[in-house]
Amino acid sequence: MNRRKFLVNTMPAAVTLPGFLNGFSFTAFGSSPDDSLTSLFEAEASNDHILVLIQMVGGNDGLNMVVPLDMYANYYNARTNVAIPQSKILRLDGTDKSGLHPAMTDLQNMYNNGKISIVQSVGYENQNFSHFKSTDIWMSGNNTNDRFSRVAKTGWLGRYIETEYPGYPDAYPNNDMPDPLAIQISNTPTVTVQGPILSMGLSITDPEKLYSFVNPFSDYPLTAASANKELRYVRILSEKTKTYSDIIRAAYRSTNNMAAYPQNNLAQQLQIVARLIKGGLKTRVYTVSIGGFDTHKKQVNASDTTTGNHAKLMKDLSSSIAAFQKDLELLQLEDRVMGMTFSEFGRRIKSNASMGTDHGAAAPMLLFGKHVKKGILGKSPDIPADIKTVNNVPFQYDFRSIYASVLERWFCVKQPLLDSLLLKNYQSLPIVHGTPCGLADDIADTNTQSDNMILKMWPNPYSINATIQFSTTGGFTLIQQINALGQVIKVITSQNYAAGTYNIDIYNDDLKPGVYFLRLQNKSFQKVISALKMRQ
Amino acid sequence: MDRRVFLTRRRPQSSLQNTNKVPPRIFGSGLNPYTGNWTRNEVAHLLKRTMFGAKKGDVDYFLTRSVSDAVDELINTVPVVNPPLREYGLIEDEFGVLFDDLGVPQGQTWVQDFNTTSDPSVISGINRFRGESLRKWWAGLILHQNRSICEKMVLFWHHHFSVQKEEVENATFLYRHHDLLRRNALGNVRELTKEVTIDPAMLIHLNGYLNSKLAPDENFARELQELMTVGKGIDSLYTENDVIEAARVLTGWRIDLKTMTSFLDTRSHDIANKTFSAFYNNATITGNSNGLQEIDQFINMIFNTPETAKFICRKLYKWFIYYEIDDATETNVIAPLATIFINNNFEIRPVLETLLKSEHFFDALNQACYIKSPFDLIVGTLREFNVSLPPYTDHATGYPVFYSVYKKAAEMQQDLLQPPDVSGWPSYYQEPMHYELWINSNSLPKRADYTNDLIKDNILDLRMFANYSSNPADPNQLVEDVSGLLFRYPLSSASKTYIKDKFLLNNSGNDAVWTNAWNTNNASLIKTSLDQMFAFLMNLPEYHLC
Repeated sequence: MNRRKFLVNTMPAAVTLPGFLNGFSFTAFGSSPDDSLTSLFEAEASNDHILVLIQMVGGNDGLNMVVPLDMYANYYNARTNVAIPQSKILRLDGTDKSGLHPAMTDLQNMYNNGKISIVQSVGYENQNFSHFKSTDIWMSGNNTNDRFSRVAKTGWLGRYIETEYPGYPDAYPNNDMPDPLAIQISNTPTVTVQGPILSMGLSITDPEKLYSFVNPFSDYPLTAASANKELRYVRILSEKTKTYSDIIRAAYRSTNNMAAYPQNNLAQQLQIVARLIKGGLKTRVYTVSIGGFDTHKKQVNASDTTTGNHAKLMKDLSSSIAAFQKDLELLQLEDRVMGMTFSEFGRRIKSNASMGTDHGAAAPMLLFGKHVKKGILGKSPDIPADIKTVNNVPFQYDFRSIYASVLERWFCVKQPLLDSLLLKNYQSLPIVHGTPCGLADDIADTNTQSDNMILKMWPNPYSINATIQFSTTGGFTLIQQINALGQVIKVITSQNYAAGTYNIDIYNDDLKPGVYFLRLQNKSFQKVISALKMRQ
Repeated sequence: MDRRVFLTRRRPQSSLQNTNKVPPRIFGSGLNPYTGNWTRNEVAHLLKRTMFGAKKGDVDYFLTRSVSDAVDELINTVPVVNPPLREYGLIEDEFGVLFDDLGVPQGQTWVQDFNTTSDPSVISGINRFRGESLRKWWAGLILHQNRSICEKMVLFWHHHFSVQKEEVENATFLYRHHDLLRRNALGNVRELTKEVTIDPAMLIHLNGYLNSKLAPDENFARELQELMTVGKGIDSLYTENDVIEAARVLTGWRIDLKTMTSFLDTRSHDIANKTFSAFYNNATITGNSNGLQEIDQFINMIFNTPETAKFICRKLYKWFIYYEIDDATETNVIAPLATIFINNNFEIRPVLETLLKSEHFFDALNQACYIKSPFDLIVGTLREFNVSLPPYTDHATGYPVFYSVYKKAAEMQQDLLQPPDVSGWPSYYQEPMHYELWINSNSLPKRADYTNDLIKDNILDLRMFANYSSNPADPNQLVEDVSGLLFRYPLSSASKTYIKDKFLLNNSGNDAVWTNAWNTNNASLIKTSLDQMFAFLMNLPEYHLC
């Protein structure tokens, strides 16, 4: 089925979206936009933008990647044996609040040239500290505990691709989309591009590989349920692999890289990506990965904390992204490509005795490309002076707000599709320049407006009763209470308000004494304050 | 679709049109002993799941026994094995100077030697070589497996308690860890878990050796619960605080490099009490300086939750049967199996025995639905074709062959002693694809190249295999028998006709072309035909299922 046919077919069924969620009817949360379904599908048709996703496997220590200069004393106190010396932290134009790891000079330059956007403290409620579960959550965009949910088993980009190119695998390749829908430079597919039936992505490690297997029969018996499912899988997979490998090989051979890349595994992967894009593939999503971030021990060298395993990773990440960006520029692809990093979690604020850090919660994300907005969205994480093992970085931004903003501002996905892809409504953040999809706002403005939001609590510290005061610019407004581990344990309010300032009283609060945070979210603005609960 | 409908409509000729609708699996079968047919089909099913490939000789052997005797023999046969040997020569230091491993002469085992006598510049090089020889030896044991489930269970425990060579580095620790799994492969899981908890390789792999009371390291405490015992099922309600408390129980374990064993350093051990959540019945583990006692109580506490038995049974289920565990399977298979596990004090044999003798195991729906792991494919092919290999104890001529085997498996994403991470191989846990993850656009070509090369390099004796046919001179019978032996899933008659005509009859449509060639022993024609036919068959999707 081609896309136009699909659109014609589905338009009359304007109430529910087509089958990409396998019968899950979507619910639009929050504000309801003017767009009808028709305009939402029409708007997508001409976008040729590409997203390159870099997975940092193992849980990246965000606090040592984007170091909080304005919290330095507490930062140093919390992790003296792994802390980056203040004088070595790389400064960024226009801010003295945060700087980069000393190994990231290339990214420092990119930032200063306006090609990097940093989002502080990205995470999610009910942080899961397992690598595997948290990776699933980041890749699927779903952190409900329902292991039987079918949505839980699809990837956020898999769902997006399914709406752009419905009917995979049967209907592909076709004239509208002659190329792989997504390419993963990896040995195995990941959940990110998992669609409802198959992975929407093709995993490759060698773009020049030739194939010899055969697949001539179409008369497989269909009734042996489980065996049949696996047989069909192997058959489809071999068919698609044969078809697409020829396309990939041709694209790869038709061109060459123009920039010099450093010698590391991530750079090699990005090199392939650049060539395939230049080779003319219409593929929209590429994923690459860099491993080794599970730095429980020997994260730094004792003799010099700016060196060691994490420094090597920061260097590789920084130099590879910079080389890739340079290549895109020389290949005249800069306007079509943006990239984004993610990791399953950050690491604990307090370091351990093994010169390392344990699993943590929120961490910064990097976005790069010609069209990302230069700046740092959000504040430095609040690091307690009296640090405990359990203290984590509470999230300021839900990672799905970043996904939502990329889908909306880079792939021009409109509501209500946007909410249905991410299963809920999320903030729209100013991280991509408005021009591609027509949204104009900026980081400095957003930060200022966030600062101007009112979020207070009295008394603070409190024992069982307190009053929370907050302001909203109107529309959907959310206040969450977060524990020291960074997990949401209470929702204070979650509803639409008229613009103004409001009070909410808390009576007989039943939480255990300890450190908590209140997080206010309204449109692209957010604010986090700490709230200390005392013993009665 | 109802299972009975499936059984009565064995070979419908529908085409592959609607790929979106996968029929749900419906199970009625539970753990009652299987009493149905005992034919080549059932024997091959049992052997392909419990061993690597089903050799015709083994199928013949078990055909003369009962289901019960066959399973008993498979789970009670535990071979005694000799340790890995030094097969490597001199070791080069970073300046190109060659040194000998002074601890062990060639052809002798290195497992008793702690690698302290050789020149310091090559100690780490020797470690690497020894690690390699360990993997070669292990691949050799898999290739030379007896009629026993043992090798599949050793690999299962490696998946379960997965440690990585690159983390552990030290070959002695790796060998001892492997030996621990091998000795207990069919033993008591709770006791094995206790031993693994203080096993030096695991202490290194998950940082237990760095875990101290002043700065607890939660790595092992977390993975033990999440991946090795209670798991993360919906009823597994352990808390983040349970992880913190568990880490405190495990503080202070260190490794003595003189004896290469672990011990408790009481100065680093937290002797305060540890208290756990309601999930663990609010248990308190009394802190003291006897770390073993604490570990004993702690692991007992974990195994006392019903979730542990269920979680391990689910893992075994995914390893041996299929990856989808629906509500009926959970009720009819997992829950009663977990009860058997608990009632037998966590001995694994009664669990395997019940599962492998069950109606559920032999349920038609559970046959042919398993995607071969790289070892199933590589070793299974070599064994089913009776490829003659040097014994696993032959370091000089055997180890190079075993090297090529484990290397191939590693290329296809199943690397011995280097699973992808602490959770083992994603094919046995990653939703929604599971087994399907073994086969993707990157690995499928490697699998195809492997069987092609075996034929091209004349490693497989195809004539011998053709002679398994009841009448190899008859091209219809030959295709029927050969595809029946190679596949667990029947080819359609149209496909068989296509194969016969294309490869045996030179597209003539005349059966006599093949019959004459065979009967007149036209060696070159027979070879060309068989080479092409087998390469084709082993490239078919069916060949990847078992």
